[in-house]
Amino acid sequence: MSPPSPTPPTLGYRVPSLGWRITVASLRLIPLVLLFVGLPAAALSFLQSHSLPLPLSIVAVTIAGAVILALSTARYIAKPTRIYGPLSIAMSAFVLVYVFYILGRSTYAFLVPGSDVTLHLTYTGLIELLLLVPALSLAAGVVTTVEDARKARERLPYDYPP
Amino acid sequence: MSGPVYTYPRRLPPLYRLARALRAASLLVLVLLILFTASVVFSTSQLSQTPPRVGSFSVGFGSNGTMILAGSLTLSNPGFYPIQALFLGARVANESGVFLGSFGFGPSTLASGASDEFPLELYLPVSATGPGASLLVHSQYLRIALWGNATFGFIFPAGVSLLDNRSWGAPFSNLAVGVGNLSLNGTVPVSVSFENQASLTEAGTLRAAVVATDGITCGSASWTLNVGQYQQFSQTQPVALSPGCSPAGGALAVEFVTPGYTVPLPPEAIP
Repeated sequence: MSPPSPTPPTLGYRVPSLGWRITVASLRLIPLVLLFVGLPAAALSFLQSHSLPLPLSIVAVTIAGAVILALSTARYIAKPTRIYGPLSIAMSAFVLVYVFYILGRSTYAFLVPGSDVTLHLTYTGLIELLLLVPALSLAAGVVTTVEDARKARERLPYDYPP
Repeated sequence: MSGPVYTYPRRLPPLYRLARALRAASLLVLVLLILFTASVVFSTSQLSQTPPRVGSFSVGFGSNGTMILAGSLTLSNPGFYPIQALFLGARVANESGVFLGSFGFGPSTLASGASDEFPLELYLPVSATGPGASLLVHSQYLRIALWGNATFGFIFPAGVSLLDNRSWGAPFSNLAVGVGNLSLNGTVPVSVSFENQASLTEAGTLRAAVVATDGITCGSASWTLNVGQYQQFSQTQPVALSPGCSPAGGALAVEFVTPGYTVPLPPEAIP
């Protein structure tokens, strides 16, 4: 009679409370607002103040940034729940659409003020490579959704290690 | 931060591992793209340390009825990415907007840390009647449209285009040729005057032929030229006319001849 196989070691973990997650999500908003809304809008306003044409609309960039922030915050708060995966998919899909929008405007031409010089810049290749980022996140969201559907709470110990 | 304490196995579930790997790959791609873009911007900014140098232009005549404007462009690439698909082109028109000629070079590649000299050669046809004829006798501003393309950091194509006006010094500026009255000894005085405003020395022979209305040459004269830049030339020479040949209503055909080429100058009608 063989000895029984050893039980895998287990560790304790603790899921943060809803209040704590809302607090942290609110604090996360500060750098994220700067990154997704402040910086792009400031860069576009700088171009506008120098009478240069805008490659993207300031309104579109602000709205897209706000939607990304909202989804990102909701996703963070909902991380211990089963809607985390679908929210991840929604956010990645929106970022994918946003990057496609930028891709369609990835050639920028402008007349240098006070001269007859016209400059053309094309960053299509960079934006095409950038599509990989939301595409991979989208795949991760799908996997998480499947994982949550198959075994709820399976990932929680690893998402919130002690 | 509060909540109940749960226990869990240490080994990561496969789906969790996959999702985490995908998120890590996404983050890695983002970080690499940001670093790559920053490095391309930095590398390209190094170009401002060694701006393009345009060498002095020389003007000459070609054997095929053209004027050759030759110069060079020296480009250096101190950055750490090659500059690929480098192309430069120009289109030249006279001050009336009539197209005269164009030139270009490329596509070429300038390796990282390399410096290269590219020839700039513009061939302008200067027949006595074509649009380039005014280049011979009329100093003016030429309209030059320049454009260039290059790819920086493998995936960033950029282009520049500009319009420029450049002064052109005519080699036979204000050319005036004329035929005087027929004298008793059967000769007519033929006078030629011009100023060389081109950056070349005109060394050769200037021939003037008195041509009758039916195309027969009644007589001709020639001058040996050695006219430097900004020098004036003004001379008159008697031309003996063939018996019975009347220049009235004809033309004075003038050409500049050297061993290498012949440049026809705009003809002058004889009243």
